[in-house]
This record gives sequence, structure tokens and C-alpha cells, in this order.
Amino acid sequence: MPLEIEVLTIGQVYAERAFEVKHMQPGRVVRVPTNVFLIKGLPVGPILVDSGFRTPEIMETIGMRATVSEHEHLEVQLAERGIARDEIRYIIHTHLHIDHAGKTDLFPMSTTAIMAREEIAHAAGGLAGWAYPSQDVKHMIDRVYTKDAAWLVDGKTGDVIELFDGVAIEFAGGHSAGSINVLVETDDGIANLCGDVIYSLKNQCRQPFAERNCYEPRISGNTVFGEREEKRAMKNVYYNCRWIVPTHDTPVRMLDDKARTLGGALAGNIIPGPLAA
Amino acid sequence: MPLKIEILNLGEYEAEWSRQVQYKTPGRLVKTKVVSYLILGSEEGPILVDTGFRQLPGAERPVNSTDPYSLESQLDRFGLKAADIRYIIHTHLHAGHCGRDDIFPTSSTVVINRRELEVGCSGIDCEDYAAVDMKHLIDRVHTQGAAWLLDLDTGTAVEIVKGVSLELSGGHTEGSANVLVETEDGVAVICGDLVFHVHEQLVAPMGQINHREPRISGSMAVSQVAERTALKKALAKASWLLPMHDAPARVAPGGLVTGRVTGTSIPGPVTELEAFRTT
Repeated sequence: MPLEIEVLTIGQVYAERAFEVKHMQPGRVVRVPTNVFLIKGLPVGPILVDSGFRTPEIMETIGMRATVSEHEHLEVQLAERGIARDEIRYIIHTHLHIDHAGKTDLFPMSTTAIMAREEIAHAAGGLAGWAYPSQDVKHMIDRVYTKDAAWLVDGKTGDVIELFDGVAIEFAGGHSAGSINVLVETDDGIANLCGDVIYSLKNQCRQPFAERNCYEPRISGNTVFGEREEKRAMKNVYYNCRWIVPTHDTPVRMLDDKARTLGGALAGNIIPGPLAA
Repeated sequence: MPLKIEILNLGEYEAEWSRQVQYKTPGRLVKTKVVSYLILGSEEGPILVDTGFRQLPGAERPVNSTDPYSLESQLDRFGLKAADIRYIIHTHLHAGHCGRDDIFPTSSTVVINRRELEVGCSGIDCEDYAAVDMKHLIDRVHTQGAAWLLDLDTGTAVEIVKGVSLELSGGHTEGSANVLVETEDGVAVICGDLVFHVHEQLVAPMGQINHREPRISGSMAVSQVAERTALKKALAKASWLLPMHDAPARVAPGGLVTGRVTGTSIPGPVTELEAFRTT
């Protein structure tokens, strides 16, 4: 069965534009979705990518307003699809920021959480304390100490490790110390679930704010690496896949005949799928 | 007031020899001390280095505050309570070194090299780091002023209070630190678990042929070269070398161990070694 990805929007976050796109319109707040993903078509059953933020209230600790409507709750969306939590065999974490790992504790320890070792290390180290809530970190430590509840991947920037037939992770080398891209082989090429390596396809790639050079992406205002590393990480995503699938924007299909050129945005919530007009 | 270091006896347990001294009699056990060091004389208040085990290996129950070798009983010898401790400095975060941090209020600031906390939580070694300890430290990291995270690199040591500084060890674990204490009689280096057993690793180092070559331990997360470099660096700086599982050593220039501390204080009485190393 060919692999496909279902996009689940589990809430909305109101973030500074300059947080998303470095130095762009400081002080202006924009609403962005927070997405998680189901990779479907594997013999192990659906794999969840990221788990969103714990509650809207916890986002206040980092100064962001967030909302979750009745139908957006991850629990509700899984139930609507007839998926029990213990039927999710794996959760892959692109990284462990507050809005990516907040609901992993809803899943039993028999659901294995996959993450880069360097990401949990960095989360624990307090360097970006506000971005990694202590509740989330302590839950991950419990998983790390529970047999098979965590699958820690080790590698360096650019390393690609295939975890399942058609699903690989790649050490991103951008955004956070242990961010990983999830590469899914679909019938329509590679979909790159890139976490927050790219936030805004429009303002960072399609019409990159204040950039002048050819195919030069605009980095975000929320980075731990240097500018050069961030740009390399972004280019690696947007030069090398058919579908760019960020956490906080609508997925986009790249043009077939014009490499590195963004095409249309996904119309529905299944990748591959039709594009918006 | 000059700085003085007191040895706090936190009991003993049976450890496996080859973990202490690489490849030595695997399977045979050796009685192993656990100590904390109390640094007195700083204007900022008493400083503790490491806090021992939550439960000694092989013990039937966790350490109780009324046990004669509990941290509480040992601090009581000096008329101190947990809340009197200003800083708790960690050489590293293995279970025998931070197991009782949670008896101290958050006003007793825990000083840690960040990399050590990162490693401890990363699952790289679930046997030696305890989840319960790591989670306590995560709470401290998220509590105002309860943790002081250092980003030690191979460069300059970081002074915590006048006369007490931390530097990256380079050995044992990725984030291990040495605590350097300036006493009236030279620098005391509290070297964590770089050295488990002074005699077998430094005085008569098993299987070493070269001059002044120490025997490394069997419990190291870094490379052999890094471990040896770290041992030699610590010895080169030390007038006194203070391991966490053995009696401290008197060290002469060149890294030569010339005696062992026989009392409970550093500086303090030393018994000269009967036979000096010739290699």
C-alpha cells in the first residue's frame, strides 16, 4: 500500500511574525496552525508525527495565546478516525518544543516515542527552558527509562536513517539541537515533514523577507544554530523534496519541472492530494 | 578565613573491581566508600560537593536521615542543617553523586555543568543515572535560582566563590567537572570518579609500563586517550587529590602520589607512602 500523510490541525497559535520570520514586522502577531501528522499505509499501523501542545494555557508560559476548538483536539480527531491511542505504535518527534511533544503522555508506554538523543539532552539541559516545559521533559525521561517506550536516534547533521520501509529520519541541523526531518516516500515523491526548520513557506521560501539572492530562504527568529547552519538546513529541505510539510503552515507541492520552485498549496488534508486553485 | 575541606562519610557498598580499575579481577567485589566533601570557610556559606546515593547499592531501603552515615547526620557533626548549605556542586550526576539533592531546599543552589545534565537525561546510560534524580534536577532547572548551569569547555575554570572553581574534567563522563579548592597548603582537586582507587590506579597502577602512567577506571564514557589526559591534568594541578570513593592523596609536583590523608580534613595529617613509585 502506498504511503500517504494525513494532516491534523490540533490548534491555533498566535505568534510574533518576527519569531516566525527573522526581523519581519516585529510586534505584529499572526495566527498559525499547529499540525501533527499521521503516516498511513505501513504494516505497523498509523504513525503519529508530533503531538502538539499540552493545553492552550501552557502556551501562555511562553507568551503566546493559543486556542483549541472542540473538533481540533488530538484525542477527538483520533477517535473520529476510529484510532485508539494504543493502536499508535510509534510517535516520531521532529523535536520536543512545547507545541510538538505536549500530548505524548496521553499514549501508553507501549507506543514508542522516537526522537533524536541530542534533542532530549538539549531539552533537559535548560538552555531553552521556556521552550521545553518541565512536564514534557519529565514524561520523556520516564519513557527513556521504560523498556522500549523510547527509541533514541543518534547521528550528525545530514545523516539519514530509514526506520520503516519508506519512512526515514534525517538529522536537520537546524531550528533545535536535535531537530529531525521525517522523510516519507509517497507515490508522488518524497514528503519532508520538516518540523519547524521552515515555519512560513510564503515568507521564508516563496517570497523570502529581505533576501536578494537566488533560492535564498529567510531564516526564522527562533533558532539555536548560526545563520549559516539554519540556511543550510532550510535549503536541504526545500531543494530536496516534492512536498514540504511544515508544522505551522499548509503543505506545498514543489513544481515538477522547476527545481526549488514552490508550486501550489495542498487543498485537502491528505498528501499526495489535489492542490488549491 | 582559609578554605578547609571536610570528608563526610556516607557509608560503603560493594562494587565490582573491573568497574573501578579497568580489567582488574572481573567479577570480584571490593568494598567501596562513598563520600561527600564539605567546603568550609567561604564567606558565602558552606558548600557541599556531591550528595551520595539515594539508596546504597545492595541496601534494603533508601538512606534515612537518622542513619549515622546519612548526609544529615554527617552535616550535624558541624552543626549544619541542609538549609545552611549555600551551594551543592556536582562533579557529575551518577546515582552515587546526586541521590539526595532533594533533601535540600531550592535556596541551596545546585551547580552543574550543563552537558552533564543533558547526558544524564539522554538515555545514553540508564544504569548509572537515575530517572528520579534527573527529574528532581529538571524541577530545579525550572525553579528560579535553584540551579546554576555552567557551560564548561576546555578553557578557563569558572569561579563559584572565592577560592572554589569548576573546570571540565574531560574524563569519566562527558560532562564531569573537577572542583578546585585553594587551601592554605595548595590546590585540592576534587576529581569526581576520574579516580576510584588511588593505590591501584596511581600508586601501583596495574599493568602500566611507562613512567607516571596511571591506570584508567573501567567506568568511563569518554575515550581512553581523553580519560588519560584528564587524569594527568587533574594530577598536574593537585597538591591534594580528592576522589569520591577513596581516601584523598597528597600529590607532589609531577603528579606523584606521596601520601594518603589519614584524618578527616584537607589540609590535614598525611601518612607517607611506605614504598614510593619508581616507575
